Amino acid sequence: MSSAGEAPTSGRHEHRVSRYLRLSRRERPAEGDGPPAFVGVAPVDDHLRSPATGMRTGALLALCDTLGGFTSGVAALPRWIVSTNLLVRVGALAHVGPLRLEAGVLRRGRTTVVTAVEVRDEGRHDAFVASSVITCSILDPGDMELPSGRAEVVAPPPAGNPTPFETFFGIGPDVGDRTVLEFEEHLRNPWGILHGGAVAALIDVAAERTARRHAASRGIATTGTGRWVCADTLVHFLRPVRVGPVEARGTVVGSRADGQVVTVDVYDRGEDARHACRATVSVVSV
Amino acid sequence: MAAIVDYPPAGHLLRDLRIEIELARQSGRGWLPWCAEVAAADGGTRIGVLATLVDVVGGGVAMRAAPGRRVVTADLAVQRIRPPTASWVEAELEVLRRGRSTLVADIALHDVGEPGRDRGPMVGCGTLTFALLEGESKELARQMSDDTSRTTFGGGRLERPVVDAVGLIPSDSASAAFTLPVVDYVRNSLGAAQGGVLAVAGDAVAVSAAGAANATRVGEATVVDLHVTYLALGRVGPLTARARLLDPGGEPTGAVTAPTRRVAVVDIVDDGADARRAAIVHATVLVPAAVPVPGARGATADPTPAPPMEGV
Repeated sequence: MSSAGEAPTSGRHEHRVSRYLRLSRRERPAEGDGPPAFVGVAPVDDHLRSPATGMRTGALLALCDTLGGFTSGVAALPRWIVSTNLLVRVGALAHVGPLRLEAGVLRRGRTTVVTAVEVRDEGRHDAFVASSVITCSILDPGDMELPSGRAEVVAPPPAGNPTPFETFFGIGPDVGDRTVLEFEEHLRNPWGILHGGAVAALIDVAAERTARRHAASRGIATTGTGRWVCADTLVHFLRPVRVGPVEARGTVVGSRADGQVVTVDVYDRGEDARHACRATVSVVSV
Repeated sequence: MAAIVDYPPAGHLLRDLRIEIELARQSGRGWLPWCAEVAAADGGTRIGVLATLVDVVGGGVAMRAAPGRRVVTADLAVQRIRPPTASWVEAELEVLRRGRSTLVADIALHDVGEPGRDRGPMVGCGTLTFALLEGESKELARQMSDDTSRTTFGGGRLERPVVDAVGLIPSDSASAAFTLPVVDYVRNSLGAAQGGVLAVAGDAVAVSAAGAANATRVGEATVVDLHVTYLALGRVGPLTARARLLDPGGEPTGAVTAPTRRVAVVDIVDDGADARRAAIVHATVLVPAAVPVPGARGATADPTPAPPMEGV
């Protein structure tokens, strides 16, 4: 299982992934004794845009995992959470930004929390961007540092030379049909395992490359830019990634009118190639 | 899903669907015959019915993989790649992970000529997550001890479209909400609306809402991706399934000359239990082009040009 729900900036666990995505967060007033709810805002920085001109889906997944996971974690206090399932259904691939994410708990059970995240484009009159559901398992945090409060978190100012998406997440060129992520320390979450956003980034890149190779090998013509971008994505975090490097293998299951359906399996090569994740992605031509 | 011998009872949806299942410890297969009553607008078995088949097979696999535990579906996802139009559709499941409290299974769907034979092309895929709860059924545990079992839910047949057969009734003029009574015909072994039935409801409401929004005849749209997150058992009823079309903005003007992709979120609540949310369904709906696009096909693995998508 991978996870979300990062600890505050004090201590060794800074908001590394959320700082890279420039996610700001504040608590939304709860209704009576209702469950926690949070709002996040993130700009659509140029280095995060896909050929469809909006925020690439891997970054969107990472945002939903981060905010949805944090919201789930607050609902689970004094315990904490790890993400087990993450679904993003994308309605729009072209965004102006900033994007606003609204996260609210759907269900807080004894062992799981289910949180919904809805994403809208404030630069396009709040047009709908994506709907997400994240399921988290509640675990005993042991000595792990937990968030000390729900204080507002403000995104840092834009960096002069932003790190490209694939570089930040340690993703290099494919080796054959394998996409590999080098597990660097800044990609660990408070549990010490690979951040769910990093897994999402790897899946996004692997699925796009798989679809592109498949289209080229089959002579599938495209229109527009001739590029392929990820849309709807469902991720099952099966086991935590602890060691790395991390390898993703994509398979095109089939093609239909709205694009290609690709499954991506993620393995921890540093731990006997343990099967860490299964994802299903719709990849569309733009 | 309780003891197979005792469930489903006579006069139940699963018997009318004539599902057959074959279960082992870490895998399982199930089959469902095609008929006009389960067809979507494109002629293939509709995704809500595929989800019903998958849920039944998956529940059986999960019970065998976790003997003595109660099993409830936590979430279910099906992606339809092409319309299943062969005599039967086959769902094959394998366990991806069996943890202490959850089980995740992988699904492959194929056209087949008959159960266990003449496998054709892949028509879909998906995944299931089950929550493994305490609560042992000794009779069930005994039945699950067999290495392999084969069961046929026969004895019935659908006499009308499945959406009508389960009792779904439109409840608003915008075609965005349906009600579903929780009656024995659709109950699971825990007395709540069966998980597959909620998938059928989500499928139907999403199609209705997308079709109405695109000013096409209701019934032309087809759900190609369906994800159901189960939040609470819908025991009392009636259930209301209400769709929100998540419009990216900018309705297409004039004739729609390419397939339109719409996203719908369907909330299913139990009106008899203080409107408690029973499930949330995410659906991707394809609305076909109003004017045929030369060379375009609804769903195929052939290398045809992909027309630019509207609504994305």
